[in-house]
Order: sequence, then C-alpha cells, then structure tokens
Amino acid sequence: MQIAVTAVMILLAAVAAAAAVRAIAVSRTAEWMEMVAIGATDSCESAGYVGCSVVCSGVENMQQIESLLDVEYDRYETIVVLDARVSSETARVLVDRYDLIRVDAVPSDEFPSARIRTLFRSRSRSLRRLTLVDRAGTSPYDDLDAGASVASYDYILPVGADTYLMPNAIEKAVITIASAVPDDIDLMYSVSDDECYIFRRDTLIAQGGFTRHVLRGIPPHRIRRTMVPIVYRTTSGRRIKFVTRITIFPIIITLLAIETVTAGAHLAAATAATAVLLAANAAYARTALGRYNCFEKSVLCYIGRIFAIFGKRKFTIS
Amino acid sequence: MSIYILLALAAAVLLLRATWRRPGLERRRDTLRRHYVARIISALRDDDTFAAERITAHTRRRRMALAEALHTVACHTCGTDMRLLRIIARLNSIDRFLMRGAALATGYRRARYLILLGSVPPTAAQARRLGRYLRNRNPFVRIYALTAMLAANPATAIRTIGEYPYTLSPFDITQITAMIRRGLLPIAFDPMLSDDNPNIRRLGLAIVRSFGIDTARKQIVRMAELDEDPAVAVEALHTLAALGHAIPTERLRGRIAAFDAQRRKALSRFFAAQGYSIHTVEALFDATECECARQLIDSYKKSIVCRSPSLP
Repeated sequence: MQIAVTAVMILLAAVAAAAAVRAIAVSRTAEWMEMVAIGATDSCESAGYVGCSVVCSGVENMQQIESLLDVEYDRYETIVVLDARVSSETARVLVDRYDLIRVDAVPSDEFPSARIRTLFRSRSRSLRRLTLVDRAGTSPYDDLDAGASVASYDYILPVGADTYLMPNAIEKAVITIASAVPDDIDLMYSVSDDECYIFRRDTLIAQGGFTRHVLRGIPPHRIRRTMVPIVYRTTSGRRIKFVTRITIFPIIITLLAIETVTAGAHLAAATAATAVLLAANAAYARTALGRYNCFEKSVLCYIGRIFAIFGKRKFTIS
Repeated sequence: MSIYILLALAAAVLLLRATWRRPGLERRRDTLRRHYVARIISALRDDDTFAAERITAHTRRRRMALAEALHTVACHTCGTDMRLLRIIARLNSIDRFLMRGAALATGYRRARYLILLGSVPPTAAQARRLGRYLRNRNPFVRIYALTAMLAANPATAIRTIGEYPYTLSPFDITQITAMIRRGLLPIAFDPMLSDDNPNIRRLGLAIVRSFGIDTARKQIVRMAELDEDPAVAVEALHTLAALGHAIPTERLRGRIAAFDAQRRKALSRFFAAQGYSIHTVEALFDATECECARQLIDSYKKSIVCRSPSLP
C-alpha cells in the first residue's frame, strides 16, 4: 500500500511540475505576443517572401470564407475546395460574389490525388487571393491535396469547417517562420486549444500529400512548436462545453471520493490540489493567450495532449 | 504530503490571481496608452511645444504607457518631426526608464523595452551599452538592440550593422527596412549593395525592393550573377522579380543551375506568381521545375483574357 501511495505521489508531483513548466511556457508566449503586437508594426509587408496559402475543405459558410479573406498580410491567399455538384449553392454564391471565372487547371503530378474538375479565380485584381477549386468530393485529405497543388505560396495552412483565423494569426505565423534560418522549418505546429499545422509545401510533396500519417515523416528538429493560437473553431467549443459540464466534474468528484475511501484523505487532497492546479493552469493559458474557446475545452485539450505523449500524433482537420 | 498540497494550492492561487488580474491590467494599460496617444497627436497637430511639455508620466506604469504611445505615434506617422517626441521623452526620462527596464528584464520582455527604445532613441553613450545585447541568445533581443542602436546613431548605421555578429533573418531585415521607411535611417542603398558584408548587401536589396528603386537594376543583376554568397544571389533574384524587371535569362541561368533543387523550385514558383511569362521561366529553369510554374501561369493568364463567367 505504501509503495502504491508513493507511486501516486510521484505521478502527481510530475503532473504538477509539468503544469508549472506549461505555465512558464504560456507566460513566455504571452510576452512574445505582446512584443509582436508592439514591434511588428509593418506586419502587412511580406517578410523574406514567406507566403501562406490557407486551404479549406468542407467549408459551406460564407462568413467563414470572408473571415479567411480578411487578412492584411500581402503574400497570402485562400483556396476553397468544394464539390460544386454537391454544394452547388455555395459555389454559385462564391462565383457571383467574388466575380470568379473558370481558368485553366492543368493537373501537376506533385500531388497524385489532386484531381481537379474546375479551377476558378477572381477577375477582380483585388480578389486575386481567392481561388475556388471544384473537385469530386472523395476525402478531406484529397481536397487538401487539390488545394495545395494550386497554391502559390510555400506554406500551407489546412483548415476545415467552422475554423476561423485568430486576429493577426498569419502575421504571427510568418514572423515565427521568417525569424528562423530560411528554409529551416518544415512544419509549424500550433499547440493551442484548437491545434493547427502549417506545412511547408515541399515537405508535403515529399510526404506524398496529406494523409493521417503525414506528421510521421517530418524530422522533429524541423518542426517548430508554438503556443501561439492560430485558429479557433466555433461549433466544437459549444458541443464540448455541454458534454464536459455534464460528465467531467461528476466523474472527478466520484474518483476523489473513491480515492478518499481506498487510499486515505491525504492522497485524495493531494490529487484534488493537483486538479485545481491544472484547472488554474488552463484558465491562465486561456486568458493569457486570448483563446476564443470555453474553459472546459481548454482543460480537455490539455488532458488530450498529455495522452498524446504516449502515441504517434495523427493529422486531422476539424 | 501536506507540503505538496500547500505548494500546489499556492501555485494554483498565484495562477488564478494572474488570470483574474490580467484583463483589468490590460484594459487600464490600453486606456492610458490611448490617453497619451491622443495628447501627443494633439501636440503634434498644433506643433505645440508647451502642450508637449505638459505631458507627464511619473509612475512606472504611466512611463511604460507613454513609451508605448510614443512608439505608436512614431510608427504610424511617417515623416513626423521627431523633435516634439524627443522633448516628451526627455522630460519624462523615458530613455533611462527603458534602458533600466531592458537591463532588469529578460527574454521577450527585454525585447519589448528595446523596441520602444528604437522610437525613443537613447544618447550615443547609452546606445553603446546596448552592444552587449547583440550577442544575446534571444534573436528578438538581438535585432531590437540593433535597431535601438541604429536609431540612436544613424550616421554610423552601416558600420553598426557590419559589426552585427549574426546573419540577419528575413524578419530582422523587415524590421530595419521599417525603420528606414519611418525616416529614422538614411536610404543609402548604393554603398550597401557593394559592401563586403552579406548582411549589408541583403539589407541594401531589401531597401531597393521596399522603395522600388529602378535605377539599381544593373547592380542587382550583377549581384544575382556573381555574388559569392548564394543567399544574397537568391535575394537579388527575388528583388529583380519583385520589381518586375526584365530578366537577363542567359546571364542568370548558369547561376540558378548552381542552386539546390528546392531553392530552384521555390524561385520558379515565385517568378510565376510575380507574373513572368512561361518563356522567361523556361529560359531560367529545367523542364521539371517549370511544371508547377506553368500551371500557375496558365491559370493566372486565363483570368486576364477570359471574360465569360461559367459554372459546370
């Protein structure tokens, strides 16, 4: 019994230490964001030709597309991939609103699964940053491949439905990329509540395009992790908030009660203190980094990330 | 176990306190900053030295807000007479406050003080003391220490950049170019393009690109063709393309062939995105590298000539 108690105490101490380290990392990230907010006043000018293409799959919401187009950074574009035969209304609205016309779409063999039916670009020069890709919907990964195959810039940010960019997200991502040695970052990984990945296009080609396992082939030293939130999702936040409120807190209280009975009040108190520390940590991260999501989702993401240590990370959109 | 519980709870309380206080602190700081920005703009509009002299900040928080307000005004009003801003900074000892802040802070917080120092330039003697930050581990501290030193002593800007011990990243160059655009540094691109230091040559190219200086074309072509540093040559090619100049394909093809495949491909896509014809791209790159560029060019060209909207 004594050994078990000691083991649990060591585990709790390790979790608390990890929480402390994370709080420091959050604090440093918040300082970085404040510094960038003050320093990078000319953020709309491209830094070192770093350009970013946002590729969205499964987007039906016009508000989301408008939000994705509302970026000041000059080397930026939004590529919307959809099946015009299925989402004909969205395609028609997009073509009308943004004055899109059909252009040549010569398929390249860089992304083998990128089969494009039609490609649309805007006739208006001010809307050159929008591209519409029409393809038969097979899988979101193939949609992303199709988007990446027509992307003009070297970094690709894949997004799914109900995903919005945080304020100045592209500028922050570009600053992170441009402040490193050129061509040194293959993948930028935003470890926020709504995690996202910004891939280098050549890396994607080398990996054979988007798949669930695209992250496996990228060497860790070429991945830049950041806690700066790049995107936020709206619908998932509300859903998780409801689910967690109903389930998580009663489960925690039940577990603590069981622990009190089996292992004693002291250990249960230590566990409760650790849980409070984790919750405080999540609340601090949410305030300091300006998350748009609910507190419960922050906690859940945090727990999810702890479990992700034990398995290979898989790439999913939304 | 009791000690552990107490420590964990204390840490949680500290985090929760920081969480609750943060929005209020940010709100108060924004309010103060806006207040100072309004007063500074008002003094600048009327060119009123008396009004500028009445802008005071005596506490640490107010000085920081005033420094941020001065920085905001300096950044967003190109070509402003800096005289009034300097009067406000001198009367409130902002430069000394920022120097002390930079010395006591670490990491990105130090970088933040140094950014503000760039807009409230310290004296030459104070700026020399910033030299120790040029070897800091944090790249943001290094570049903002450099920009503060440049702002303090613009006459020796090229020498100061020449003594910078690291390679300037694209972001660093953007920051220095932003200072030039604000009129804090001279636009002396000509000697920069022929300097021995690759950092200075790259900065010279950034100036040419940023200000669209057409007269530098011959020099840029020479750099793209002959510069010993491949990074500078690539930058020169980017500059040529960004300015939309005619590309002497015969002269540059050999140089481009010496770059690695990844760089060549990125360049071909950049040329395509800048609006060059497929003939120019084909004259510079191999057929395999042209494929992606051709796809981009074809789709862009069609959008110029085609006039009929269509849906499947």
